[in-house]
Amino acid sequence: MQNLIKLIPLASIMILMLFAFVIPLLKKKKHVYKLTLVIMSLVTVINLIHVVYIALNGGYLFDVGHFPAPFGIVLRIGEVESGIGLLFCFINLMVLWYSYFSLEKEIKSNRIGFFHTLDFLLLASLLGIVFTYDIFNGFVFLEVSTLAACGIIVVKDKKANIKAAIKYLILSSLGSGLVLMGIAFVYSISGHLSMSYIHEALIQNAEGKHNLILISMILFTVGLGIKGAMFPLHIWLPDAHSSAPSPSSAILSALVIKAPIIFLIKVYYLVYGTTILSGTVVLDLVLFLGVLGMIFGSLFARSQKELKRMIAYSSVAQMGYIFFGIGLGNKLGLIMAIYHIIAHAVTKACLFLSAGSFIEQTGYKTIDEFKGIGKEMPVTLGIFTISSLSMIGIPIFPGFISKWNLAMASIESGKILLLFVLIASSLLNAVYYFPIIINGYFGEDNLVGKVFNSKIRPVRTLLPLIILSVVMVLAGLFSGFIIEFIGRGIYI
Amino acid sequence: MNTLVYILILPLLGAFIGYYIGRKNEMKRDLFNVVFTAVELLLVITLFPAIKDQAIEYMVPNIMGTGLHLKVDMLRYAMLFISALAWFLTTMYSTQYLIKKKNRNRYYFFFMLTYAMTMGVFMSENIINLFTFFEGMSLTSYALVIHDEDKYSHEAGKSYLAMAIAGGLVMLFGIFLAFDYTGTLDIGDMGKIMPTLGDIRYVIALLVMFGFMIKASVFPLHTWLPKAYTAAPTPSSALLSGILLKTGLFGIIIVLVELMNFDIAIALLLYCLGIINIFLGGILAIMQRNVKRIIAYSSMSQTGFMLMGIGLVGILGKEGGLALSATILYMINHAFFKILLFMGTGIIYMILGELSINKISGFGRKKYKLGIFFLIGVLGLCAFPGFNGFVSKTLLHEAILEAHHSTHHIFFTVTEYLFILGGGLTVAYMLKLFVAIFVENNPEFYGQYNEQVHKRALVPMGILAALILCIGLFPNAILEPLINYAEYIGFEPILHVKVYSSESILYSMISLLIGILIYQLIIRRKLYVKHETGGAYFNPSLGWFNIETDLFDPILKILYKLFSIVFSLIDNWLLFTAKLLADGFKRISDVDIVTSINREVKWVPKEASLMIKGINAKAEDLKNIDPKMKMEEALELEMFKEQSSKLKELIVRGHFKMTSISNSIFLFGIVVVFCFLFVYVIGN
Repeated sequence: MQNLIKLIPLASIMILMLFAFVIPLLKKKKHVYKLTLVIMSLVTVINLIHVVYIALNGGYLFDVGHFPAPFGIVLRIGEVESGIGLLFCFINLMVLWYSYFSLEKEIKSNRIGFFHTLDFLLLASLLGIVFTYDIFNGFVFLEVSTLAACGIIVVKDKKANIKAAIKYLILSSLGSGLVLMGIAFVYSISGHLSMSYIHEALIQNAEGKHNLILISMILFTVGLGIKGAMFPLHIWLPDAHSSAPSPSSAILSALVIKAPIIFLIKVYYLVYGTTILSGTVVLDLVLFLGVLGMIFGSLFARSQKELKRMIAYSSVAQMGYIFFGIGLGNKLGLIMAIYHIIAHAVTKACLFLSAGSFIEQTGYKTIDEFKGIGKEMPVTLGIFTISSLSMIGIPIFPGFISKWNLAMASIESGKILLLFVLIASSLLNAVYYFPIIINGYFGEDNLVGKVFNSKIRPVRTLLPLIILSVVMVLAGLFSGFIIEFIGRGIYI
Repeated sequence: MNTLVYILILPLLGAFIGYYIGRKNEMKRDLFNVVFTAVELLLVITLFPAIKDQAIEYMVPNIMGTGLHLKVDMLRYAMLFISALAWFLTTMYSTQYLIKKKNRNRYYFFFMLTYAMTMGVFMSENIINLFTFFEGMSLTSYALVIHDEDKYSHEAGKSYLAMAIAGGLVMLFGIFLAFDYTGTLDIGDMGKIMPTLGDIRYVIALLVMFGFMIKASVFPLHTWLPKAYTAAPTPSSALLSGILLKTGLFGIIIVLVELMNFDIAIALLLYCLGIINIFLGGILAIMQRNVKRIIAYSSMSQTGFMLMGIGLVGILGKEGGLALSATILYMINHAFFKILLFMGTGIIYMILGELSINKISGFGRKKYKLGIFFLIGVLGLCAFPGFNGFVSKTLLHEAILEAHHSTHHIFFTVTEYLFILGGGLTVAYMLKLFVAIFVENNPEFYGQYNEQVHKRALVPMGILAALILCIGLFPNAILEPLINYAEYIGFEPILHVKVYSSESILYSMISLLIGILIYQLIIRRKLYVKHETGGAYFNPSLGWFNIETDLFDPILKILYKLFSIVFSLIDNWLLFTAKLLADGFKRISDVDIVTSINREVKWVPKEASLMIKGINAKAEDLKNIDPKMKMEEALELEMFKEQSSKLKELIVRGHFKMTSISNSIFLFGIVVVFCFLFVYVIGN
């Protein structure tokens, strides 16, 4: 039984990869949807079992194909990895469920099988990035995820999508190049690719190779920073996220930019370790860029006119929080970075899907045109409201929990001035989310010509969104358990 | 599970269940809400034996970020009780009041949510829970304030929300600081460490109190109050004044008594602010013509009395038990008579749709039930002997005298006179209101509309009137537990409590006399204009200095201008450098590789030169394509042309330029170089 459960991480990657190539063989769309939903539910359920197992028994190492560590590939499964794995599967399941009702309105019907193939490949590679203990294996998965992500952007073949995908591809390739160079440097010092072996070798041969280690660190930071939308390198994100079909936007924002950050954290703490890290200012660099992202992302978001673009820029700001948490360099900060990954993934998926629902039902795009939408689509705007309250950081919701604990972490590390940044960015978030909600629900002249419940979709089709928002609220309410669970498996 | 948790969760559930029922059947929802609030009230009442002699606490770990820590002692219980009672009565009243309004379902939803949040505020022992519920209460009550959704209520709502959010952020910052210095979030533990800190404790206390002071409408943060009270539907105004105002005062008590351990400096500040509040509120109430506005300003004035009481607790220190009980009692009493008065006003508004006393004067003549209930409320507010206001005001007066005895400072003698004068102001504006509505003769309303005053609206008023009389006649029944509580939390025992004595009645009569004099000499002569058809009040304070529009707004505007100038400078400078950089890169990337090859390959054979020609031709083609690309770029820029301000346009244009594919590669390069420089220069 135990051995079976330990197979789950590899099995979920394999199942997804396998069925990714089965899907194009199916002729009927209905079959495609049914198959994908069944497979996704299966993967989600086994990951849930896996998380329960980990919570009871703790983490373990898994040798792929029974080759032990320096030669074979090893998966490292702990609390963080299993939790993030479950999160990815769950959100992907919800997004696919939602897309069952809406995808055909956004992309051509002969592309639907293609979309699902790409999505499965993408999820498999993201899970691979999260689970792997082998640095080169991680790089390979990273490349697969980049290509698949380009695919789900370009699946809606408009001009803007192609342009955005090219931009993403170019910048992402530059980032991958840096990561590969970083791996080369690390390999030249240590002669290993498995994280624990590199770590030991680095600790032993650190003398005199300080500069090489530092260079590789910066290469990893910038390279993975591009994929994770670190502030000045976020430029691919708004185009890509706003032009893609809404389910793709949700997946891109909730999953694709998160996996590289998990990889970055692993590289920092499993490859280099706290002793080497604390001797450098790399984390301060991450903190600095994170702070810039928090402020400027929100400022850019404020000046947007299109709803989806605004949400995309808000992602940049939220990624700033995650880098902020990593950059603080203490245990609480790192835990909160991972908690915020969870919080933001759930919340942003809600936001993108509900915004997609507005756009699809009304045909409008800009924020001004959505005045009074609350009269027409009250439930959808309600979900949007709850999620944006979480983004702003209203207590109870997960956004507040992470902001609060990030504040605690920055006090702990003695950087009081950062509190101002946190409060200022909350205020900025409020500035661009509140008008949408207030104009959506209230205001006599906004509601002229709107009919109550006129454009609302049947509740059946909104169910995935409602489940997502309930899970989001639960993640805030039971944050104590989640934080404790993450804390058990954190790398410091 | 514990009763405390049930008390907290029930209204929250009720909000959703009520909303669901209300979509099907409004009658059933109304019934459900009344029953539900009654159940909640019963729950609160059954709690009384448990907390009579000690405080009870309950912890739910691992939720809401830091765990939920609830505590109920006598002070908190008193607040819980008046909230539960007030919500029960206003729910009953709302079923009648809201008949002509729209969006009733939404109203009840937020009504119950606010209920849950308010209960949470009064029960939290963890300061983060307190903050959470306090902010939640502000947000949910926003929907109540703007319920009418006309221009006026939106303006009021804007003011309300802006101040609530600003207050919340300031408060949160104070909490951060407090946590930084004490390392705990429980109010009890914090209170043990806070008094030992240096001057930073004043900063913390003032920051935390800022949010509470806004809710309590303490000068100069009261500007939202008259607007919000007037704009909200009457049952909401009643709750805003009766209960939500108390959350602010409750918070101030918590800060002064439980966190700061009776700090004298803050106590004096509160005492002085209280006096300012009494007079500012009182004088403005005298000037007003709108009934709701008079009562709103009266709330502000009454807040002043309660603030004085809180200040006295701090000034007297360990001997301030009497002042504390008096203040708590004052808060209870104020809730009762203020809700009663608002309900009476609401009935008038329900029938006439008008609240200016010039237009409704004489409405109440011959409407005996309404008149008597209203009169009881007025007498309670004016502290007439035999009514509840008298008890609390006498005790408060007693406490001022005590402060004078223990310090022998002239300050307290002066403030004692001011206190009595403030009581006179209360009498004056209430007299103006009551005489105008219920005494004056107006044939237009003579005996009409009696049938429109329904029982369901009158029953809650009757219950409140009975309570006012009960407390007034048997003050010891309610005073005893309060005094026990004061002794229980460490005040010195209180020896003599005598409410009815010749002296106290004399003081009350002096106040009454002053009030009548003000009414006769100032209100009737200076504020009343007679003409042929009758007379009308006018309001001279309309042209006065208005703190919000004359002080806050200009300061904000100037700040905004200043910031926008500074930011536009920075922006322009950034754009300028960005443009320089972009042009530089363009020049680099435009360097014609082909011509440089041309120069070198003059001696190469013919085939090669043919090939070069081909390359040159390609280069020509590329040049031809270039303008097309530019056209496209220009077209895309057109889209942003609509941006209103020049600055925004510049930002968008600059941002667009910076994020084009070719420039983004340069940006990437810059970031890599920057990262290396950062790590190497700062790291070494």
